[in-house]
Amino acid sequence: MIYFNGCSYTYGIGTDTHDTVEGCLKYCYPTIAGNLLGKEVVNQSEPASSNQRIHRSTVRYLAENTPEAVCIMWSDALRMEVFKPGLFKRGFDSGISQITPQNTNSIKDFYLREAIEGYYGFVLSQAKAALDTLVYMASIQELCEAKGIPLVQMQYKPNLERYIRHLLDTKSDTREDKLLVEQINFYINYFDKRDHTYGYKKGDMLSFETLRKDNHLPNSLYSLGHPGREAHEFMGKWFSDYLKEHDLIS
Amino acid sequence: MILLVNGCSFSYGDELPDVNKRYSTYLGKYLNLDVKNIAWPGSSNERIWRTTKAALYEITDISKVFVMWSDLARVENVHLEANMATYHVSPNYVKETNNPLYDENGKFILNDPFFQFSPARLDTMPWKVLKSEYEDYYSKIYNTETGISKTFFYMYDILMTCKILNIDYYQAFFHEGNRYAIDKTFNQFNMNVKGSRLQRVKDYYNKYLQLFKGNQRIGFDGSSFTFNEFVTENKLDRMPHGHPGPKAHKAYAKYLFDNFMR
Repeated sequence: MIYFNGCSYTYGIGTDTHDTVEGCLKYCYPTIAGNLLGKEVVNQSEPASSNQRIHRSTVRYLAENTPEAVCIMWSDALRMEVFKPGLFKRGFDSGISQITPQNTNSIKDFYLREAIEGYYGFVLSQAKAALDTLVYMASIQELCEAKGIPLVQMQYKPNLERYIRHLLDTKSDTREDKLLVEQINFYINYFDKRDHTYGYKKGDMLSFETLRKDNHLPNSLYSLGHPGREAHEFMGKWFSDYLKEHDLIS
Repeated sequence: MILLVNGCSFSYGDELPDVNKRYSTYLGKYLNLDVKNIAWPGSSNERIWRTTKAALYEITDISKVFVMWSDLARVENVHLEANMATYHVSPNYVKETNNPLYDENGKFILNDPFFQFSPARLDTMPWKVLKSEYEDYYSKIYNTETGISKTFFYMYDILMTCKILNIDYYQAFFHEGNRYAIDKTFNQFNMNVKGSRLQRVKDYYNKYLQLFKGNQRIGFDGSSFTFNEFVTENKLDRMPHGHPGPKAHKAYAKYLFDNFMR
């Protein structure tokens, strides 16, 4: 059995006319990879997921299960989660709402929307968001290594690469900036010593979105901004080939 | 073998004349273990989780872990714009207290880029705009349900990591305020008003709570003391800013050893 987690890109949003649960599950890349490999698939992705949620649900799953391989497609580092039932039309998990900088316009409460815009504008920084994602990636890496489970980690878009590139290009020589660069380099060195992790350092652009663009695959007809069915078929084959070529599954 | 200890100022031994006279040192002697104390004053539970996880994977000879969780509402962030080097206290204060958290000019010394913050420190923040945004964060975005959900996930993650690595795990609350916050969040009035929405969080919280044994619930339910309660109940010494004093640290280590870690 192969375990997948991620955001809407892994859930399959855009692969079906009305993004039905059944349709997305049928056409998303994890299902396609599972079919090509002849393996059962557990897909715990959810649309709009923050990396906090992806990390949290992956840890919970791996604490009780030992799949043959784990594939994580990380989302945008700036997303966050808070307990706000009814914040949007749809809530996930224990009423823990997933908030992205792009969906703040959909927040019903004016004052909360203002506060979240202020949070993104002044409190949360790219530095914090990028470091959080690197911490989550290392946490899952260590968990899989301790349990002897092969792990592939990549990004839905090359956003993490961009944040890290910007942060490492900081010319400031304050003590805080040096500490930040030191911390980022710690994680880059950490992942450099490991295989099958992508999109964590400057110039490492591999992601679902870059693969889609490089291979001239169209976005969804139903949900603009998400990969279409052809892109999911490509990604499913990519994961299937990757796992086989690197002997990550039997 | 090593006893790994993490927490906030209570575990760091803030204000103690000699930081080596903190409870972790005595606990190490009782248990006959070397001690690695990675606590830091003002810590959020996010920092405690992050650094405990890193230590668990970096240090190979840990046999026991003791985590004293901090206030649910604390957060950590990275603020490059608001340069933390400008965050300082009077050099006289440093001279008087010999506080190792500040250099001789009163500048706050960070050991990583993360800045630990809590609602209690809102008034000390020197940057007006950032202060205003943090006020909005605590009044409109953050809620105790989020703090409980996050902290109990951190606890669960460390429990599971210790289990996989075959390490004994112990945990406590530093202050009974956490217990009050949890009780208040799930009291009958709130359950009636918020109904199924709150029930989902309570179920989530209970799912994690039932995994913790007695020595992983120290100060959680009133049958045992938080460090702060222990000092109050036994009328032990406190430092000028309220942190436990040298005698309190020594007695608390014995309390932990006799009741939970022997």
